[in-house]
Amino acid sequence: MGAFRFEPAQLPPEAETLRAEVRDFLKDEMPAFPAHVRAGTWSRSDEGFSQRLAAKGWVGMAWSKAYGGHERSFLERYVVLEELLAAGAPVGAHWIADRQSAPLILKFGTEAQKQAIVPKIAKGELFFCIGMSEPDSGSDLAATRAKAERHGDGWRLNGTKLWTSGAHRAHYMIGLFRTSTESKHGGLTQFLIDMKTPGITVRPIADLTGHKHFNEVSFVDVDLPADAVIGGEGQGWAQVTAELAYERSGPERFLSSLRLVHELIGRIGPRPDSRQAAVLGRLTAHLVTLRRMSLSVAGMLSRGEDPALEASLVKDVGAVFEQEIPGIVAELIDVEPTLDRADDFARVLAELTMITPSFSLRGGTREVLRGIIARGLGLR
Amino acid sequence: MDESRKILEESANKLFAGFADPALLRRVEVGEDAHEVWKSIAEMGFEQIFAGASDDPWRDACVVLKACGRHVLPAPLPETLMSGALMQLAGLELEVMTSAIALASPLHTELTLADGGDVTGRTGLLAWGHVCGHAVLPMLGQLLLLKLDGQTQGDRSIGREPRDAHVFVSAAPVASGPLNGDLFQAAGALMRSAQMAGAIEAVLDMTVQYARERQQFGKPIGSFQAIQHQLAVLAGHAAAATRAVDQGFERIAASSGDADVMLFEAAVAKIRCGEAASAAASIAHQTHGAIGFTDEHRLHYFTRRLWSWRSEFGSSGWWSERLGRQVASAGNDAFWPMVTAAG
Repeated sequence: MGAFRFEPAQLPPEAETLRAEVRDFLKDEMPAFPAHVRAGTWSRSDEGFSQRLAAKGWVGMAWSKAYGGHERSFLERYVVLEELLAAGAPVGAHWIADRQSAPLILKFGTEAQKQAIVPKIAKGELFFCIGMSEPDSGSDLAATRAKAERHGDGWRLNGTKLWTSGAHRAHYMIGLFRTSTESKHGGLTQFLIDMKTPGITVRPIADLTGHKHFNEVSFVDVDLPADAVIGGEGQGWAQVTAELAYERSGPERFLSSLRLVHELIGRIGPRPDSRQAAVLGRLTAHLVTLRRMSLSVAGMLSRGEDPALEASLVKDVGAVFEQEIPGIVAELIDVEPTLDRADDFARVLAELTMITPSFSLRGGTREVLRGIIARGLGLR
Repeated sequence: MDESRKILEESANKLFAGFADPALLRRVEVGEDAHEVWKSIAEMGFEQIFAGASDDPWRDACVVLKACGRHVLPAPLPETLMSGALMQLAGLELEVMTSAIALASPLHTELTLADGGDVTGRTGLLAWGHVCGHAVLPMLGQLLLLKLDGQTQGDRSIGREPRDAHVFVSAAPVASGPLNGDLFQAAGALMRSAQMAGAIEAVLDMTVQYARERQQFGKPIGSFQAIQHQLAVLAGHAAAATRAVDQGFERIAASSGDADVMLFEAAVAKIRCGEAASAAASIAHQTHGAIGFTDEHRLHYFTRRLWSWRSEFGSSGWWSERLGRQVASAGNDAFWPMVTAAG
């Protein structure tokens, strides 16, 4: 069959030097953040932290220096990301811009867009959100109805985007809008949208934990200039598909419950009973293997290959892993998860237990990913 | 993968495919032709990988062992190959190996050593024991190479492969050298993991092909989402098993057979592949329906071996407990660095 290729990816020696630098930086930074905040990692935002990280050169790492990047390899970037996530750093503010918005602009944007936007992302000054999902368009992204019509020299947007993470603090959105109804997939276009543009309303939506990180964003006669289009008119679907390879391939797709594994090791102590040892060993074997799979995908990105299929597979297997951890821990350790006055273990367990449903929804649902994998197997 | 290893992989797969014939597998399973099959496999020379036939034996062994699993090769090639690895680690001068060599698991081996160095006692179940001329056994920090000419008590695995306990009475070792006894279990677990990874890939291919061909309700069953999503899960297990094994052998090669690396990698591989084997067999059978449950269909040659191999040289649970104790005693601060050091 050979549909899936997971070649080994060896980290270069300079990546390990870099890892030590990141660990030093985090040793100073992380004591300020309590365990339950660290449990949230890339869904927690701290703009000051993002700017200090950018000052170290760890935002926009792989981009051209001409646009404020640092021209380091994908594998070096991978090392920085995994160290940040493993420490539970609150990287949410710049995460999306760094992961996919700037790479998208660099790939499809105009020279003027690149010059105006990308260097500020690399400095940790501009944050992005992604306008894809809508009330009637979730997994079926091509059902996008929010529309952009030509108006004067530019465009006029109307419609609603939903589940837009970070829209309340983002400076820009890259939004997918329908510019033609003649073709379902061919009638979509991506726009660079300044969130201060009149006619945009951001309404926060609390998730089941009570946190407000995602939003409903409505557009009523929002006028954009002609040069707000990213890439080609009608090219939105192809561009979004390319963007999703970045969105799905990273270490954030299997490390979401790592804080709880740390708490578990601490709670169990150096002399586990046989059940506890068996759980720890099994989780370790899965984690080590997933990281190897994920690194293979990073290796493919660094060689300029298209890992869309392999990235979907790692995200699917990774989500199963990170999602099962709170249940396994709850069964193993007789502690009631509570929210307010509890110790770190109980609170991290409570926090992660509640957010696990999102792991197999965000960035492509389990069902969509398995459909992509099945296509890769030649079944559709 | 470098060019020469790709060629090795292709030639192993091509040669072993000739033995994956259900008629031959059936004959070997009822106890016929096992010696003849081994003789013709030994002519290919793969068992000499650790006896000077390869410049890069661990990486080469990995592709050959996976190919053995992919074609459920009915002969003690994996055992002989990995016995060679252990003999090399024990510092034995490996001349060309002239017989198949059985690999004993220390878990069930009960031997005593007399003053003169003779061995008395009973081994655990040796895979293909009566086809092998020799066995390597752990004994008080030593590897012993013993001739298998005494009494055996035959049993069979679920794969209907020979599993023979061997009784030694004052047997004199042919050779010996110092070796950590845990490495027998590690070598066996790595071997079975690589075989499982290969067999799971074969089961995935077989099951996808069946889902594309089998028609129900007027269309191929592979066009139903319920089947597609199960096969996607199977593909995930297949990829994970292969990745765990490949990187495991890679690290062992890079460390020139370091004992700690071998034990860690054996644990990761056996835990992950064992779990993948269970899932793969279950999904493959569910997809194949009743025909896959018949003696006539070839699926069971793979699934019965997966069920055997997941239990041999330490189950997932056995290795999980061992690895978990190591993780716990190293403590919280050592955990993430251990994960990243594993590459």
